[in-house]
Amino acid sequence: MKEQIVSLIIGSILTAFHIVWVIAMIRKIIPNKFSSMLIHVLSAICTLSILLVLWITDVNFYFWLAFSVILFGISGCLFVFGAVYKSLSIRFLLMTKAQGKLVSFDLLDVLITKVSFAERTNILCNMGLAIKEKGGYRISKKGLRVAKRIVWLRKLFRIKTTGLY
Amino acid sequence: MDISIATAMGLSIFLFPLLLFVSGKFKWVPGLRFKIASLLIYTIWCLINLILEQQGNVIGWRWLAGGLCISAVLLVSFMFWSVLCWGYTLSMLLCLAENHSVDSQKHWEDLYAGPEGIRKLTTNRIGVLIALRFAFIEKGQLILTKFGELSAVIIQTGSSLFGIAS
Repeated sequence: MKEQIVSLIIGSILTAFHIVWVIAMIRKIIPNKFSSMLIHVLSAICTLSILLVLWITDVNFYFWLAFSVILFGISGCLFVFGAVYKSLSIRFLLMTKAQGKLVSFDLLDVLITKVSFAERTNILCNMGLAIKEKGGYRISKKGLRVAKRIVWLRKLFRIKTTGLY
Repeated sequence: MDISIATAMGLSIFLFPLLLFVSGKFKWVPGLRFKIASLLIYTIWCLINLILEQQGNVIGWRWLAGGLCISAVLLVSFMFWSVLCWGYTLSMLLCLAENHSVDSQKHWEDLYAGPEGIRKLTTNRIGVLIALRFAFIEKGQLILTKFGELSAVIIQTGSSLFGIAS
Protein backbone atom coordinates (compact mmCIF):
# COMPACT_ATOMS: atom_id res chain seq x y z
CA MET A 1 0.00 0.00 0.00
CA LYS A 2 2.83 2.37 0.91
CA GLU A 3 4.51 1.81 -2.48
CA GLN A 4 1.24 2.56 -4.28
CA ILE A 5 0.85 5.88 -2.49
CA VAL A 6 4.49 6.76 -3.16
CA SER A 7 3.95 5.91 -6.86
CA LEU A 8 0.88 8.15 -7.05
CA ILE A 9 2.74 11.00 -5.33
CA ILE A 10 5.76 10.65 -7.64
CA GLY A 11 3.45 10.53 -10.68
CA SER A 12 1.51 13.60 -9.54
CA ILE A 13 4.63 15.65 -8.73
CA LEU A 14 6.24 14.84 -12.10
CA THR A 15 2.98 15.64 -13.92
CA ALA A 16 2.86 19.01 -12.15
CA PHE A 17 6.52 19.53 -13.14
CA HIS A 18 5.63 18.81 -16.79
CA ILE A 19 2.68 21.24 -16.77
CA VAL A 20 4.65 24.06 -15.10
CA TRP A 21 7.59 23.48 -17.48
CA VAL A 22 5.32 23.56 -20.58
CA ILE A 23 3.58 26.74 -19.41
CA ALA A 24 6.90 28.45 -18.61
CA MET A 25 8.28 27.55 -22.05
CA ILE A 26 5.15 28.49 -24.01
CA ARG A 27 4.84 31.80 -22.17
CA LYS A 28 8.56 32.38 -22.85
CA ILE A 29 9.26 32.82 -19.13
CA ILE A 30 12.14 30.51 -20.06
CA PRO A 31 13.45 32.07 -23.31
CA ASN A 32 13.31 29.61 -26.25
CA LYS A 33 12.51 29.39 -29.96
CA PHE A 34 10.71 26.03 -29.94
CA SER A 35 7.23 25.49 -31.37
CA SER A 36 4.42 24.69 -28.90
CA MET A 37 4.25 21.06 -30.07
CA LEU A 38 7.99 20.57 -29.66
CA ILE A 39 7.81 22.06 -26.16
CA HIS A 40 5.20 19.45 -25.18
CA VAL A 41 7.28 16.62 -26.63
CA LEU A 42 10.59 17.77 -25.10
CA SER A 43 9.02 18.28 -21.68
CA ALA A 44 7.36 14.84 -21.86
CA ILE A 45 10.70 13.18 -22.70
CA CYS A 46 12.37 15.09 -19.86
CA THR A 47 9.66 14.13 -17.32
CA LEU A 48 9.66 10.44 -18.28
CA SER A 49 13.47 10.43 -18.13
CA ILE A 50 13.36 11.67 -14.52
CA LEU A 51 10.94 8.83 -13.71
CA LEU A 52 13.32 6.36 -15.34
CA VAL A 53 16.25 7.70 -13.29
CA LEU A 54 14.21 7.33 -10.07
CA TRP A 55 13.39 3.75 -11.06
CA ILE A 56 17.00 2.87 -11.88
CA THR A 57 18.22 4.38 -8.59
CA ASP A 58 16.10 1.85 -6.68
CA VAL A 59 13.52 4.21 -5.17
CA ASN A 60 10.81 1.89 -3.86
CA PHE A 61 7.70 2.50 -6.00
CA TYR A 62 5.58 0.88 -8.75
CA PHE A 63 7.07 2.23 -11.97
CA TRP A 64 4.05 1.49 -14.16
CA LEU A 65 1.59 3.16 -11.80
CA ALA A 66 3.63 6.38 -11.71
CA PHE A 67 4.19 6.07 -15.49
CA SER A 68 0.45 5.83 -16.18
CA VAL A 69 -0.32 8.90 -14.02
CA ILE A 70 2.33 10.91 -15.90
CA LEU A 71 1.22 9.62 -19.32
CA PHE A 72 -2.35 10.67 -18.59
CA GLY A 73 -1.16 14.07 -17.31
CA ILE A 74 0.97 14.67 -20.41
CA SER A 75 -1.81 13.80 -22.85
CA GLY A 76 -4.38 15.74 -20.78
CA CYS A 77 -2.14 18.82 -20.86
CA LEU A 78 -1.73 18.46 -24.66
CA PHE A 79 -5.47 17.98 -25.08
CA VAL A 80 -6.36 21.11 -23.06
CA PHE A 81 -3.75 23.15 -24.92
CA GLY A 82 -5.04 21.90 -28.28
CA ALA A 83 -8.61 22.78 -27.28
CA VAL A 84 -7.90 26.35 -26.18
CA TYR A 85 -5.26 27.07 -28.84
CA LYS A 86 -7.28 27.68 -32.00
CA SER A 87 -10.75 26.22 -31.47
CA LEU A 88 -13.40 28.34 -33.16
CA SER A 89 -16.18 27.22 -30.80
CA ILE A 90 -14.13 28.21 -27.76
CA ARG A 91 -13.40 31.61 -29.28
CA PHE A 92 -17.16 32.05 -29.76
CA LEU A 93 -17.75 31.10 -26.15
CA LEU A 94 -15.14 33.54 -24.82
CA MET A 95 -16.30 36.33 -27.14
CA THR A 96 -19.91 35.88 -26.01
CA LYS A 97 -18.80 36.07 -22.38
CA ALA A 98 -16.72 39.17 -23.10
CA GLN A 99 -19.69 40.82 -24.83
CA GLY A 100 -21.90 40.40 -21.78
CA LYS A 101 -23.32 36.89 -22.29
CA LEU A 102 -25.05 37.55 -25.62
CA VAL A 103 -23.78 38.27 -29.11
CA SER A 104 -25.15 38.40 -32.66
CA PHE A 105 -24.11 35.93 -35.38
CA ASP A 106 -22.95 38.86 -37.54
CA LEU A 107 -20.49 39.97 -34.89
CA LEU A 108 -19.11 36.43 -34.54
CA ASP A 109 -18.80 36.25 -38.35
CA VAL A 110 -16.83 39.47 -38.59
CA LEU A 111 -14.76 39.30 -35.41
CA ILE A 112 -13.92 35.63 -35.31
CA THR A 113 -14.73 33.45 -38.32
CA LYS A 114 -13.39 35.81 -40.99
CA VAL A 115 -10.36 36.80 -38.91
CA SER A 116 -9.71 33.14 -38.16
CA PHE A 117 -9.89 32.26 -41.87
CA ALA A 118 -7.30 34.96 -42.63
CA GLU A 119 -5.06 33.69 -39.79
CA ARG A 120 -5.20 30.18 -41.18
CA THR A 121 -4.38 31.28 -44.74
CA ASN A 122 -1.25 32.90 -43.25
CA ILE A 123 -0.43 29.71 -41.35
CA LEU A 124 -0.73 27.67 -44.58
CA CYS A 125 1.48 30.20 -46.42
CA ASN A 126 4.06 30.26 -43.60
CA MET A 127 4.19 26.47 -43.61
CA GLY A 128 4.89 26.58 -47.35
CA LEU A 129 1.67 24.70 -48.18
CA ALA A 130 0.05 27.63 -50.02
CA ILE A 131 1.56 30.50 -52.01
CA LYS A 132 0.15 34.03 -52.09
CA GLU A 133 0.17 35.63 -55.54
CA LYS A 134 -1.62 38.58 -57.17
CA GLY A 135 -4.18 38.87 -54.41
CA GLY A 136 -5.05 35.19 -54.68
CA TYR A 137 -3.53 31.94 -53.47
CA ARG A 138 -2.34 28.74 -55.08
CA ILE A 139 -1.33 25.39 -53.68
CA SER A 140 2.41 24.70 -53.51
CA LYS A 141 4.06 21.38 -54.46
CA LYS A 142 4.56 20.66 -50.76
CA GLY A 143 0.91 21.53 -50.09
CA LEU A 144 -0.25 19.16 -52.80
CA ARG A 145 1.93 16.39 -51.39
CA VAL A 146 0.57 16.92 -47.85
CA ALA A 147 -3.02 17.15 -49.14
CA LYS A 148 -2.60 13.85 -51.05
CA ARG A 149 -1.40 12.12 -47.87
CA ILE A 150 -4.35 13.50 -45.90
CA VAL A 151 -6.81 12.43 -48.60
CA TRP A 152 -5.23 8.95 -48.58
CA LEU A 153 -5.60 8.75 -44.78
CA ARG A 154 -9.21 9.96 -44.93
CA LYS A 155 -10.01 7.37 -47.61
CA LEU A 156 -8.31 4.65 -45.58
CA PHE A 157 -10.55 5.41 -42.58
CA ARG A 158 -13.54 6.17 -44.83
CA ILE A 159 -13.98 9.70 -43.48
CA LYS A 160 -16.42 11.62 -45.65
CA THR A 161 -16.88 14.81 -43.61
CA THR A 162 -16.28 18.22 -45.13
CA GLY A 163 -14.75 19.88 -42.10
CA LEU A 164 -18.16 20.66 -40.62
CA TYR A 165 -19.67 18.82 -37.65
CA MET B 1 6.70 -4.74 -18.78
CA ASP B 2 3.68 -5.49 -16.61
CA ILE B 3 1.27 -7.79 -18.51
CA SER B 4 -1.85 -5.78 -17.62
CA ILE B 5 -0.30 -2.46 -18.69
CA ALA B 6 1.17 -4.06 -21.82
CA THR B 7 -2.33 -5.28 -22.74
CA ALA B 8 -3.80 -1.81 -22.17
CA MET B 9 -1.12 -0.14 -24.30
CA GLY B 10 -1.30 -2.80 -27.01
CA LEU B 11 -5.08 -2.58 -27.28
CA SER B 12 -5.18 1.21 -27.44
CA ILE B 13 -2.21 1.64 -29.80
CA PHE B 14 -2.80 -1.26 -32.21
CA LEU B 15 -6.38 -2.49 -31.92
CA PHE B 16 -8.00 0.95 -31.61
CA PRO B 17 -6.94 2.26 -35.08
CA LEU B 18 -8.01 -1.11 -36.50
CA LEU B 19 -11.46 -0.71 -34.91
CA LEU B 20 -11.74 2.81 -36.36
CA PHE B 21 -10.81 1.37 -39.75
CA VAL B 22 -13.39 -1.42 -39.51
CA SER B 23 -16.10 0.96 -38.24
CA GLY B 24 -15.80 2.77 -41.60
CA LYS B 25 -17.76 -0.10 -43.14
CA PHE B 26 -20.86 1.04 -41.23
CA LYS B 27 -22.81 4.20 -41.96
CA TRP B 28 -21.92 5.85 -38.65
CA VAL B 29 -20.82 9.46 -38.17
CA PRO B 30 -17.15 9.89 -37.13
CA GLY B 31 -18.01 10.91 -33.54
CA LEU B 32 -20.09 7.77 -32.99
CA ARG B 33 -17.38 5.61 -34.58
CA PHE B 34 -14.85 6.98 -32.10
CA LYS B 35 -17.17 6.46 -29.13
CA ILE B 36 -17.97 2.84 -30.09
CA ALA B 37 -14.30 1.99 -30.74
CA SER B 38 -13.31 3.52 -27.36
CA LEU B 39 -16.04 1.62 -25.53
CA LEU B 40 -14.94 -1.65 -27.16
CA ILE B 41 -11.31 -1.07 -26.14
CA TYR B 42 -12.27 -0.45 -22.48
CA THR B 43 -14.58 -3.50 -22.50
CA ILE B 44 -12.02 -5.86 -24.06
CA TRP B 45 -9.34 -4.66 -21.65
CA CYS B 46 -11.65 -5.15 -18.64
CA LEU B 47 -12.45 -8.70 -19.77
CA ILE B 48 -8.77 -9.56 -20.28
CA ASN B 49 -7.93 -8.01 -16.89
CA LEU B 50 -10.65 -10.08 -15.20
CA ILE B 51 -9.17 -13.26 -16.69
CA LEU B 52 -5.68 -12.22 -15.57
CA GLU B 53 -7.05 -11.43 -12.11
CA GLN B 54 -8.54 -14.93 -11.80
CA GLN B 55 -5.11 -16.33 -12.62
CA GLY B 56 -3.67 -14.12 -9.87
CA ASN B 57 -1.73 -11.90 -12.29
CA VAL B 58 -3.50 -8.61 -11.60
CA ILE B 59 -3.36 -6.63 -8.39
CA GLY B 60 -5.67 -3.69 -7.62
CA TRP B 61 -3.47 -0.80 -8.76
CA ARG B 62 -3.12 -2.26 -12.24
CA TRP B 63 -6.78 -1.47 -12.90
CA LEU B 64 -6.06 2.22 -12.30
CA ALA B 65 -2.75 2.22 -14.19
CA GLY B 66 -4.15 0.40 -17.23
CA GLY B 67 -7.25 2.61 -17.33
CA LEU B 68 -5.09 5.73 -17.23
CA CYS B 69 -2.83 4.41 -20.01
CA ILE B 70 -5.81 3.65 -22.28
CA SER B 71 -7.39 7.05 -21.54
CA ALA B 72 -4.10 8.81 -22.32
CA VAL B 73 -3.75 7.13 -25.71
CA LEU B 74 -7.43 7.73 -26.53
CA LEU B 75 -7.13 11.46 -25.67
CA VAL B 76 -4.24 11.88 -28.11
CA SER B 77 -6.03 9.72 -30.69
CA PHE B 78 -9.11 11.92 -30.41
CA MET B 79 -6.99 14.99 -31.19
CA PHE B 80 -5.76 13.37 -34.43
CA TRP B 81 -9.22 12.01 -35.27
CA SER B 82 -10.94 15.37 -34.80
CA VAL B 83 -8.35 17.16 -36.94
CA LEU B 84 -8.72 14.54 -39.67
CA CYS B 85 -12.54 14.70 -39.57
CA TRP B 86 -13.33 18.31 -38.72
CA GLY B 87 -10.04 20.25 -38.89
CA TYR B 88 -10.61 23.82 -40.08
CA THR B 89 -7.12 24.52 -41.47
CA LEU B 90 -6.91 21.00 -42.89
CA SER B 91 -10.21 21.43 -44.74
CA MET B 92 -9.02 24.76 -46.13
CA LEU B 93 -5.88 23.05 -47.46
CA LEU B 94 -7.90 20.23 -49.04
CA CYS B 95 -10.21 22.78 -50.64
CA LEU B 96 -7.26 24.69 -52.12
CA ALA B 97 -5.63 21.44 -53.30
CA GLU B 98 -8.84 20.45 -55.07
CA ASN B 99 -9.12 23.79 -56.87
CA HIS B 100 -5.34 24.41 -57.25
CA SER B 101 -5.75 28.21 -56.99
CA VAL B 102 -8.18 30.88 -55.80
CA ASP B 103 -8.51 34.51 -56.96
CA SER B 104 -8.91 36.00 -53.49
CA GLN B 105 -9.53 35.09 -49.88
CA LYS B 106 -13.27 35.62 -50.45
CA HIS B 107 -13.14 33.16 -53.36
CA TRP B 108 -11.41 30.62 -51.08
CA GLU B 109 -14.06 31.20 -48.38
CA ASP B 110 -16.85 30.61 -50.92
CA LEU B 111 -15.26 27.44 -52.29
CA TYR B 112 -14.70 26.19 -48.75
CA ALA B 113 -18.10 26.95 -47.27
CA GLY B 114 -20.29 26.81 -50.39
CA PRO B 115 -23.04 29.25 -51.44
CA GLU B 116 -23.98 30.09 -47.83
CA GLY B 117 -20.51 31.58 -47.35
CA ILE B 118 -18.48 31.67 -44.17
CA ARG B 119 -21.69 32.08 -42.09
CA LYS B 120 -22.19 28.34 -42.61
CA LEU B 121 -19.05 27.68 -40.57
CA THR B 122 -20.15 30.09 -37.82
CA THR B 123 -23.55 28.37 -37.59
CA ASN B 124 -21.90 24.95 -37.57
CA ARG B 125 -19.51 25.76 -34.72
CA ILE B 126 -22.28 27.49 -32.74
CA GLY B 127 -24.09 24.15 -33.02
CA VAL B 128 -21.29 22.61 -30.94
CA LEU B 129 -21.82 25.16 -28.14
CA ILE B 130 -25.56 24.47 -28.17
CA ALA B 131 -25.08 20.68 -28.20
CA LEU B 132 -22.79 21.00 -25.17
CA ARG B 133 -25.42 23.20 -23.45
CA PHE B 134 -22.99 26.12 -23.26
CA ALA B 135 -25.41 28.42 -25.06
CA PHE B 136 -28.79 28.78 -26.76
CA ILE B 137 -30.17 30.95 -29.55
CA GLU B 138 -32.86 33.58 -29.05
CA LYS B 139 -33.91 36.19 -31.62
CA GLY B 140 -30.82 35.56 -33.77
CA GLN B 141 -28.45 36.04 -30.86
CA LEU B 142 -26.21 33.58 -29.08
CA ILE B 143 -26.84 33.62 -25.33
CA LEU B 144 -24.69 31.83 -22.75
CA THR B 145 -26.24 29.48 -20.21
CA LYS B 146 -25.02 29.46 -16.57
CA PHE B 147 -22.97 26.37 -17.43
CA GLY B 148 -21.54 28.16 -20.46
CA GLU B 149 -20.55 31.15 -18.33
CA LEU B 150 -18.79 28.95 -15.81
CA SER B 151 -17.03 27.04 -18.59
CA ALA B 152 -15.95 30.31 -20.22
CA VAL B 153 -14.32 31.41 -16.94
CA ILE B 154 -12.48 28.06 -16.61
CA ILE B 155 -11.39 28.06 -20.27
CA GLN B 156 -10.31 31.69 -20.02
CA THR B 157 -8.13 30.76 -17.04
CA GLY B 158 -6.65 27.86 -19.04
CA SER B 159 -5.96 30.14 -22.02
CA SER B 160 -4.34 32.75 -19.78
CA LEU B 161 -2.13 30.10 -18.16
CA PHE B 162 -0.83 29.08 -21.59
CA GLY B 163 -0.49 32.75 -22.53
CA ILE B 164 -2.99 32.42 -25.38
CA ALA B 165 -4.71 35.70 -26.22
CA SER B 166 -8.41 35.21 -26.94
